[in-house]
Amino acid sequence: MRTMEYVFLSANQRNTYSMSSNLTHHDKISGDFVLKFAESCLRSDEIRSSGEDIKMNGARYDRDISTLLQQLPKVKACKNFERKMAARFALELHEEVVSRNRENIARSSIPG
Amino acid sequence: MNVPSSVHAITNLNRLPDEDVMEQLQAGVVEAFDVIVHRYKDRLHNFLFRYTSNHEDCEDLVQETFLRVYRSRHSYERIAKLSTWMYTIALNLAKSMYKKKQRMTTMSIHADSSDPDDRELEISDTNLMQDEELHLKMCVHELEKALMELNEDFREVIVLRDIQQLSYEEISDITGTAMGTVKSRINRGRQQLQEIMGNYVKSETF
Repeated sequence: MRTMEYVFLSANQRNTYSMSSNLTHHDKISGDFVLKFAESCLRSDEIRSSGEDIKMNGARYDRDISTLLQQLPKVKACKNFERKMAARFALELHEEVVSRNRENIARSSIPG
Repeated sequence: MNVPSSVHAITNLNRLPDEDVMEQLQAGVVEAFDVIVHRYKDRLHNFLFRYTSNHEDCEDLVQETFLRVYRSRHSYERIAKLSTWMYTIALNLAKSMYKKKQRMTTMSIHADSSDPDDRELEISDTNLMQDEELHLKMCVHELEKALMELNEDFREVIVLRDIQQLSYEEISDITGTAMGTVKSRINRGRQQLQEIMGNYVKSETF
């Protein structure tokens, strides 16, 4: 299992991009782009234009919608979900008992 | 060492199919509820998150779905799969919440500040090259936004079919819509996503 944090670049790789002093201008632009993307700082027009680049650069990126939808990250319940649910369920059971008792008392207090 | 009887009960329940577990719940075995929660919590989270695109709403809805399952346990009949019945409850709850709020938020694949529990996001394909990963990450981001732009009727069937991988028949039961309508909505939903996504995916014959 991989988390999204590991999808793109490790911290060391990012440092390589930012620390290198031998980058050409083009490399620097690419490096900046990669860094901004990794930090989720891209503007929407940058994301859009890079999408156009990718489209022009080859068919190997092609994925159909259905395949892409299947590859969306699976969102799971948080780690303590079952504990929280158990607490709410306990309350539910308690309310059920209280309501049943109330009904029983009401029934037994009816004269005759 | 004494093993609590509830542990025995849960061990036995774990071996049963969903519908039998539900029967146990109907018969008053409260441990059956924990088994149902354990089996469905992730499936419902994924479904409701893709539908609402909000972690807090999603968690509330999942909890409420389980409570409704318990409260309505006697109305469940074995003619339906338990999963279908549960998805129906979840979808109805999500729809009524959606109507109340009349607004849906878009989400990002990046760290979600609205998620206090910092959930893990799991990607199924582990053999991607780095540039493909970049592309996929961007596609995922765009796709999540596109999904929220879809008409509600299309989104629900797309999520049930392409994300939850349910059959047309199950989707028809859950949404209370004819099978032909389900298929048509799925096709049209995919087409709309294709149009919204434009640059990110190839044209597909639907």
